[in-house]
Amino acid sequence: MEKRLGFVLIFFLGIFLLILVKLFYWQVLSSDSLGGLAEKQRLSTIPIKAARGRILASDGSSLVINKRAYGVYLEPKKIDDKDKIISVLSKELELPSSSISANLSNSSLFWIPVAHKVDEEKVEDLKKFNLKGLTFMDEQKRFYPESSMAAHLLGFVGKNAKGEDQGYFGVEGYYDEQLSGRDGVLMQDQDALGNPILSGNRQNIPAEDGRDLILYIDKTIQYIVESKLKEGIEKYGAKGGSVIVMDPSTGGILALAAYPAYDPGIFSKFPSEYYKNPTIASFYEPGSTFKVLVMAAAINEGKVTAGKKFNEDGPVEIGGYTINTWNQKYHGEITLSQVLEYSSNVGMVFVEKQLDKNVFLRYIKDLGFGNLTGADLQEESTPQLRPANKWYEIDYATASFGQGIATTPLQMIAAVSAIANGGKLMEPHVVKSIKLADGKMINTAPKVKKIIYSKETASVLKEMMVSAVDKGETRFLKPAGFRIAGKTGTAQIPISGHYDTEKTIASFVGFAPVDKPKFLMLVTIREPTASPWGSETAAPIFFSVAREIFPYLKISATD
Amino acid sequence: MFNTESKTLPVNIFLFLFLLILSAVQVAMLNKFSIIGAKLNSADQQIEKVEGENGLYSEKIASASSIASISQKAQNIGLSQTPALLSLDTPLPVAYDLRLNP
Repeated sequence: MEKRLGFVLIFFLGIFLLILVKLFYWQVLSSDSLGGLAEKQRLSTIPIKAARGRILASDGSSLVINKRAYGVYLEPKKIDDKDKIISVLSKELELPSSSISANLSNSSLFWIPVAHKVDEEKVEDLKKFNLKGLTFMDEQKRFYPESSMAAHLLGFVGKNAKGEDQGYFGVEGYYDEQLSGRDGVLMQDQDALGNPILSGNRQNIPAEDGRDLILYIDKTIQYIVESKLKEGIEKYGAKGGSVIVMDPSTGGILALAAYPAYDPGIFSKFPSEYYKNPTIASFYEPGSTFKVLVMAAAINEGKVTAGKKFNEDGPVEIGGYTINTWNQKYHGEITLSQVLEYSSNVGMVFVEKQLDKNVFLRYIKDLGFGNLTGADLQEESTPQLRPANKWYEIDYATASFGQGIATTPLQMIAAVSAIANGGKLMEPHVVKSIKLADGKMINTAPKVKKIIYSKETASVLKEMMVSAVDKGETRFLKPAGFRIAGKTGTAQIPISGHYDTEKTIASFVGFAPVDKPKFLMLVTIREPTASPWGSETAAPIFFSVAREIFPYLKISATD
Repeated sequence: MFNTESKTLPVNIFLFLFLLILSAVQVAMLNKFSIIGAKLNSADQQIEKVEGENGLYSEKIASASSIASISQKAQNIGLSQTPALLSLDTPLPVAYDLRLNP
């Protein structure tokens, strides 16, 4: 009897021991892995997307903001009518049905992305179909209230290799990191219904929204510039063109337009060659607009004066080449001021010869040619200047009237700003200030890169440029009573080592009011067919813009 | 001399009751926290909804106040594009001005 009781006792002890071992295994040895599984079950990690910073004009109005959009996804396990869903999505979202069908045929997928950044209106239309297995997730997309205005300056937001939003070109590209901000994350315990358990784990790393950019851009001037440029391109049958308006005292870009342009909201529907901003990434020979810079250099060095006489009696021979005036007319004894009025190439060769060659090259480099301007726009490039030992007599001569030397429009207008503002080369800037998430503002101070000319030289050149407008080829174009300083330019386009006789780049650079300029503008027109001359294409565009800017900026004839 | 057993008993009873009360309070508070999550969720959804509406209004305001839109409306009601420029004065040259006002 006692023996049997003993066996029963041992049996039950054995069972207890087994239970203890199992409990030890689950509660001690496996505690970490089981704890992890439990945490995984109840702990949710919710990414908090940072809002991309806005881009605002100088008056605080919106150029680029964010709008709500949606990602469209399919949950294949929940779809009951596959054909209907493919047909609806293909039609509504303009997607090939074959690609949707191919994704759905993969039975291992639980979650299939169909489209991103779909507009709210389109999503509401899709919801009306009540399709099972179709789901939507919040996203944001860029919205351009002014449509394609300032497209080259703004750039656009596309996707990078990781599928994340990234800015390309213009301000979106240059300031991408500041505009992106930093995503946050919310980790919290949640119950079976998805509600947070406040007494459990909760860790919130808030998102840091992107910074807002306030530009120098004046929307009214930008609008005027874009409409006049478009009108001009059509009227003169040109391939393209650009206009830059700058505040010469700060280097701030008040307006920048180029044609052909694109809509950054639907950039993928335009040819990619349109994305490039020709004002910072395309090169051209400036032609006669360059003469004002060479003249200023010679006056600044004390080699010539505005009233110095020059005998324009015929073409000049330089290194086996013949240099003529643009219209084959020679006026005999003229002043250097008249050299600019008549836009005399031979007169400019005379001026260039008064300057030492090294001094001539020094001025070109000091004025920023051959170097990036430092403007805050992505994809800026610069043509290279030949080294000094590759410059021959003919090169100095042709450079004096802006041929044989290449520049971007932004480099050219930045250089002329040194005349407009009394001698200082300013760094061009698009962004005036940056607004942080906490409301603080970081202002971009105007930057003087170098002092090129004395104030006296700048004043003299201003008067010479006023004379060039009043007495030159554009005298019938300017509004009566206004003093506008300017210079026309017509440069032949180099193709395969020689100049095309028919294709030109016509340009006009000018500023007003002359004593304290409120704006400086450069107009370039590529290959106009109505007339090759800057005085007949670019200059009229300049003056038609100026006529609208004067009352807007309250510039009167007495200024 | 002292009856320590009779003094200890009421203290023990007090401590036991105190522990019971604290446990009850803990259970009640945890219960309350467990349903506040639903309210927080609901509040978050409301905030998201209002933010969405704000975004929509910002978009509509930006569109309505766009320069293209205003220009079109101005044209429709007959406002002229550009005032004519009229000059009644002859301005002085810059270099002359500098001589007078160095």
